Amino acid sequence: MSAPPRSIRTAVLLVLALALAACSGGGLRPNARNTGPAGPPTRGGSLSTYTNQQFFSFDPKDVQVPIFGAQGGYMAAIYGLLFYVDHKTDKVRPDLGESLTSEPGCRTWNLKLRDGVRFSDGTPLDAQAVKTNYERIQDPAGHSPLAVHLAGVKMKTAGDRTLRLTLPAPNCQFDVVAANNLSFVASPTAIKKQGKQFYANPVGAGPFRLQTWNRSAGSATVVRNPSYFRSGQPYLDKITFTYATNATTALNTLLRGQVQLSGALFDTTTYDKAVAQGLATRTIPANGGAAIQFNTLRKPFDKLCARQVVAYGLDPAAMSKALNKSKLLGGPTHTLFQPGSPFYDPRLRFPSNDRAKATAYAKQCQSQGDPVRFTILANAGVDQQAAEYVASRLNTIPGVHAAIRVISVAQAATVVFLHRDFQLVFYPGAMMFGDPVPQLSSWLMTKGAVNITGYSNKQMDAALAEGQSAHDVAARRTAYEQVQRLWIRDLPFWMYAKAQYYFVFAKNVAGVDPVNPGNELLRWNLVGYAGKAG
Amino acid sequence: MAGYLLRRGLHLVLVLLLVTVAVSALLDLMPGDPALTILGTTASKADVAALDHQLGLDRPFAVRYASWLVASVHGDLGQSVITKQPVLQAIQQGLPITLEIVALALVIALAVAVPVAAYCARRPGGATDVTATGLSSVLLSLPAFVGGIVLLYLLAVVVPVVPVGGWVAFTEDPAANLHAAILPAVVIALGPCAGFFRVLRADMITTLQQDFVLTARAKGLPTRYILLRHALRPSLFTLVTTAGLTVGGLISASFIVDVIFQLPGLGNITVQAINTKDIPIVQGVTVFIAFVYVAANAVVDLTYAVLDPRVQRP
Repeated sequence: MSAPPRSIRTAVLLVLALALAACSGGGLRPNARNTGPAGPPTRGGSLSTYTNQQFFSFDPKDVQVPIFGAQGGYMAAIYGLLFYVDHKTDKVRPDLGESLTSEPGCRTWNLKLRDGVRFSDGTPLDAQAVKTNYERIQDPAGHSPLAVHLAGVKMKTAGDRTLRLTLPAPNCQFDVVAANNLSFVASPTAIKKQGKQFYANPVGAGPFRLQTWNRSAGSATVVRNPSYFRSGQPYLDKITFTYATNATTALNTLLRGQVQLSGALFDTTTYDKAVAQGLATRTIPANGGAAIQFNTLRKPFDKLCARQVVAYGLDPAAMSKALNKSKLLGGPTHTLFQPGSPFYDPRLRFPSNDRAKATAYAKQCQSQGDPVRFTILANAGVDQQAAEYVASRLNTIPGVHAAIRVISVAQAATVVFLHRDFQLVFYPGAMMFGDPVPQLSSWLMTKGAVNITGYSNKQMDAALAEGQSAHDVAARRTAYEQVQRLWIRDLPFWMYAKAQYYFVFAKNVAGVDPVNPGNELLRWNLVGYAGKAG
Repeated sequence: MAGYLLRRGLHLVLVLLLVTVAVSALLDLMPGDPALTILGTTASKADVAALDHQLGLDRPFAVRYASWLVASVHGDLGQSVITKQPVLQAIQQGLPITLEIVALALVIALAVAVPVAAYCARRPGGATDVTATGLSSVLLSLPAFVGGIVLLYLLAVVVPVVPVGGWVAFTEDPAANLHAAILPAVVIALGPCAGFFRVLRADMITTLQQDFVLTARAKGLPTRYILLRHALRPSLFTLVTTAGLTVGGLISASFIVDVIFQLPGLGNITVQAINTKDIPIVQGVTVFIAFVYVAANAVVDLTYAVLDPRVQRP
């Protein structure tokens, strides 16, 4: 899994930025605010759900970050998951696959497949099929967003059911990376047969197969795959995924029962309203949280003192209270990892809320000839309020001048990710993760895929690499303690509010048990209606 | 007549050219990059540049426009950058929904406005007339998005008599189709309904003061008969013209209700395309609608020309 996706052009972004949604894990546990029926569902029924992203491809190589609200929802239905990360244990579990184990040193991994699993076109899901899919991801001509996870990886089949993957460097968390990013596998026969049209005619081995894709309507319907390898599953006959373009309508359709399930939509108030109306819910806390990112390559934030002005000049509690519209989700954070994570340490608090220090650092910057004058880049309608809050607070500190530049959501990805044309930005809002591999690395490592702050520190790179290559929890804990200390010292970004992903759904929908902390996918074969089918 | 047709044809071509240049230029200036939508935020500048090249987005504006124009003249409006769907197919899928909503809205607006206007014209200044005129002022000043959200809340949430959103094709289930279309149609019909009422009421009041109406009254004909058989027909000319012109406004308003009610009409298609900077879709839909507008105006002009040959003179 990599950074929060952008594609989203609108809604997923809104979710990531505003809703403090999307992710969890790393030892975190779903909190107690979970409702819904217990016990296995009954067979039959149709279910409607929302996506936050326009459909543009059903090809596994085109998946950006397979989060539920984006492509992950429908891709998981069509392709199933080779492996997944169990929320309860944080262990990688097999689904379509049989095992994913490393040899000593964590450089070579053996991906073993189940015997007898077939794609819906009748061809076998074997080692060669996985290899073909992974090679498509690696092919530069395919422009796959997942290529970063297979960069430099060499593959060789060992019999029909085993694929040996040799990584360019040891990674004891590669199973987590694979479960989150490389779990969708398509039929090579179908890929060859369909050619360039495969993106619209997917064939997987998951519990459902694509029936219709109405591109104009932004909806897709999947129907039960009769050849799914788990007998008696899936429970549902049909699922319709619709691109939600309007928050009010989306919420109202949920309340009216026209749509039975949704991941985080637009903002956290959706969750509050759903709870108030008695819908069933799942909430999943996350590490990280809503963040402010500094461009460490530009004045004034190339100086640590300027970053400290912002950190000490703001109070996470007051800021969270002012900006979070939900009464049930979120809350201030003072640490990078959250309680429940093996890497959480309450002593490792980042700097905040000390006006005297903020003033002193502002003076320090000024004395060095670099006054703390900057512009906050804000997404229109997304984090404009947050920008105004920050500017209003920081402008009361002598020597600080914060202005605001508002840009459109459509513009944000290009400005921030492509051109890095900012000084301080909220986008993409919440930086949330389960296991720190690979997300935290992608933000903090010098060559991290979404290191938009330009932060570069060899000690940090080494600590993150150690956290990735270390096998036992104690060694990883030591590595991530060092990561947190360096982050607190250098402050390439600063956080203020906790993040939680959530699902809201009809009371009779069962099996809403997300997997893959950070991506929150559903195993659709387990979802259905308790009692009479809906 | 041949000269007139030629002038109208040239006018049509000129308008379409101007509209397409303006839309294409605006889209070109619009921020964002479809390649980033497809590749995600982890994409490098090189990857984005490569995909831009592959999609032809790195060519100069003039080259892209010229190439699109040539293809369009040959009936090829291109395909979506994001979904790869042919633009014509997208229009074909969205158009029936938009047309149905617009037609239904027009019918609703006329069905309400005509009898109410006729009734009010009978006693101008009466309680009903004052109430209806006041209400029409409110409706005329009410934007479609406000009316849409309020009615959505009242009729789909508080008293759930219609669905909140979504669409069912007429061919799939005619009753469910009408159920899904009725509220969006009512929302965009509110403004035109008030406008039609005002126009017809005023015309009918004037007509009812004509001598032939007085004669009819003197003959003892029933009021309803006079209203419907003598006064209504000669009062309809302005209404018919206004109704024709309102179709354009209804198409625009349908874009708003498409988003509010999540209808898969041309409006939703266009809004999604704008969000992802899917230029071919926006260009295609805009050109299509401009063509419909211009063609409709041309037909009206031609009708005038047939009715009154004086308008053919340059």
